Amino acid sequence: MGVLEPILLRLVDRARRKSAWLFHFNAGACNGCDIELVACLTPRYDVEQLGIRLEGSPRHADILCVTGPVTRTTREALRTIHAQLPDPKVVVAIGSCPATANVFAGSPVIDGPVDRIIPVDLFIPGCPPRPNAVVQGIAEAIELLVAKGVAQ
Amino acid sequence: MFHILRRLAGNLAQGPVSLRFPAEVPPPAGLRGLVRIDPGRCLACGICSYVCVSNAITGAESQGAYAWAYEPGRCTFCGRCEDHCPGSALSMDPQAPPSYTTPGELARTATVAFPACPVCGEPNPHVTEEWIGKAFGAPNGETRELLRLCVRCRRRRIAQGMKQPHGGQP
Ligand code: SF4
Ligand code: SF4
Ligand code: SF4
Repeated sequence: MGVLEPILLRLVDRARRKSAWLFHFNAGACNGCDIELVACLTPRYDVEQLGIRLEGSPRHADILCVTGPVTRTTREALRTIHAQLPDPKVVVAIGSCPATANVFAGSPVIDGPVDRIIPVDLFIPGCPPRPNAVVQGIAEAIELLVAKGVAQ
Repeated sequence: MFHILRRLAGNLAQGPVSLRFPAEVPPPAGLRGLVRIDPGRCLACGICSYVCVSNAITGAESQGAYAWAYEPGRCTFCGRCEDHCPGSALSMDPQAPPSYTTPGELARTATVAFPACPVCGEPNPHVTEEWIGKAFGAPNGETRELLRLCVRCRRRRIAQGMKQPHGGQP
């Protein structure tokens, strides 16, 4: 690519920082965390001001948001979806469930927590976390994404 | 018709409702954040770890002290521990916890040291003035003296007192 290469890399870097796309996966959550994530998209919190878009296909996304403790039936789907995200990717665990399986720990139908199935980059604590905390967490996730892109 | 026009005019005058990042909505009063402990008020009773639905709090007695540990990643922020703590040693932060990258990063621990019994020297969970007040009414010199002793020495002291004739001192 020659002289164009640094310019193109800068462009890609800027694109990552300014428009990270997000894929949301519910791995057996009680819907509490999912509702808070949806609240982030409302005009009040407006996570889209950070360039975020909730994307329907994991193949176009940069950030994977996981909620829920990973039930037996969602385990393989989680693995597949994680593999489908192009590199660099960041995995964000929203709530106590994906972090430790929360009150569901020890249940025979729970295969979680998430970091037993796929690597997790950022945890947002809460049950559920406040929308503010989720927006802050996603902003931190974008920083991680940019750093991963530079390292690649 | 007029209602919607009034609403539209109001919205126009109000301006945008979106919060410019990183602006925050102030946390509501009584928000349940991370659990914190005041070791000086803890009675080492273990009720908090017993009532915790998700085993976020664990407690163990070892070598004359009570080791209290709290892992926020497991917490459901239900507030049962705070409600049931007889010593009012637990409270919850009024703001939401920050995000973290390593599991266990926000964990909190505390060691509640047991004072030695003034008679035999055995370490014994201490009893706070506040709790004495709750259980026996306003503490006086005698209850204070008795509750500083370990369980065995306290039993012995009470038994000695009962052997004395009525009104006599042990
Ligand atoms: S962390 Fe709490 S609110 Fe979120 S899915 Fe689990 S139980 Fe529901
Ligand atoms: S914190 Fe409260 S409930 Fe827990 S052991 Fe101490 S006194 Fe008991
Ligand atoms: S708030 Fe609830 S889940 Fe959290 S430590 Fe207390 S009892 Fe356990």
